[in-house]
Amino acid sequence: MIEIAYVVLGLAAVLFAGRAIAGPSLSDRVIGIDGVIVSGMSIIIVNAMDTGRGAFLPAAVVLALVSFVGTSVVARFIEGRGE
Amino acid sequence: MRTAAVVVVLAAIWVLLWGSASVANIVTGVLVGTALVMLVPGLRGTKQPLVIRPIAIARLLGHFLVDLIRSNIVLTREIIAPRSRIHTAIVGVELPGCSDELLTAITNLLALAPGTMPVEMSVDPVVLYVHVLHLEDVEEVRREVRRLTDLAYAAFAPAERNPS
Amino acid sequence: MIGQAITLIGAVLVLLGAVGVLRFPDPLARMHALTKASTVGVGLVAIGSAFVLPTANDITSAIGAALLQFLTLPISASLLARVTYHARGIPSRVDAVDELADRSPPRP
Repeated sequence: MIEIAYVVLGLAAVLFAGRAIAGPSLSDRVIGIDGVIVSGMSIIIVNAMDTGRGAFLPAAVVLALVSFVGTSVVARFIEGRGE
Repeated sequence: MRTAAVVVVLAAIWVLLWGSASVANIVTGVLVGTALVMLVPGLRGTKQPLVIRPIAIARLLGHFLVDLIRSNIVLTREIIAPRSRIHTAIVGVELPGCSDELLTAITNLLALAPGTMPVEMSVDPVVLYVHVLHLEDVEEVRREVRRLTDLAYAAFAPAERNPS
Repeated sequence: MIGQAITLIGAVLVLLGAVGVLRFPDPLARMHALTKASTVGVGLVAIGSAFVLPTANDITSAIGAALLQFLTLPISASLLARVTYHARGIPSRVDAVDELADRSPPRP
């Protein structure tokens, strides 16, 4: 069943990246990148379940913080530029 | 809550991030918590005792969990449906007399609740504008937001008058 | 077994969020899909992993990551929604009542 989770999450990452590439505005792209980061966090956790080695799990914590800070900074940037 | 409780919470977060509750981690956590409370001006606790109302918090959590499940069901139906029924709107809800912390908590809860996303907030008078995905009835949205405010107020606020 | 099932449900939720972000017509609506579906999806993946992961250190890291995401994603999404609505270059589609239309954007 873990392999199905891998495939599902990989597909989700690709779809989010599609929105990041195609989105007409900057907000769409940052939503797409945020989604890629969420998919990445989930894949890290699933990989820890699969191999039994949790060496990469602190990276998931860091990814959550990075996505929050990054999205907020881009929001400030859009506010300043108005577009 | 009091300053000692703030230090305990910070030390607990530190120990949680380090993973194991060894003596070194706990001591370092208390040191880091104390340093943060001394350095960051807004982190000092108030003199009010910590009031825990387990029933009110349990009701809020129950409402929140039901909201989470409902929002995912609604969203799933919307995503799978071949023709989208999206009918967006922005509704303003007046919440007189809410404190800043209560507004923050309500904004976060509304972002996870079904169909609503807080967009803007005005401070004077206190109005919260939410963006709705399926608009059926404007007053229904206002009632829902006020019910959430009541639950959050009953769970967290010290003994004052009810804002709504 | 049950841990893997919960994780699979969480993964499907993240995928539904991705489909929603791709399908919805408007940045504000796409934010709805991201915060509601994907956040709960990551939470379920972490809860499922708590049944399977061997050491307590790993379990607290996974649950901590999901909890952090849960706490911070609504904040950043609301901030982004506010800025997207007020930005002149980004068209936001509002079908019905718009009670915010006549207010000028507040100064940063």
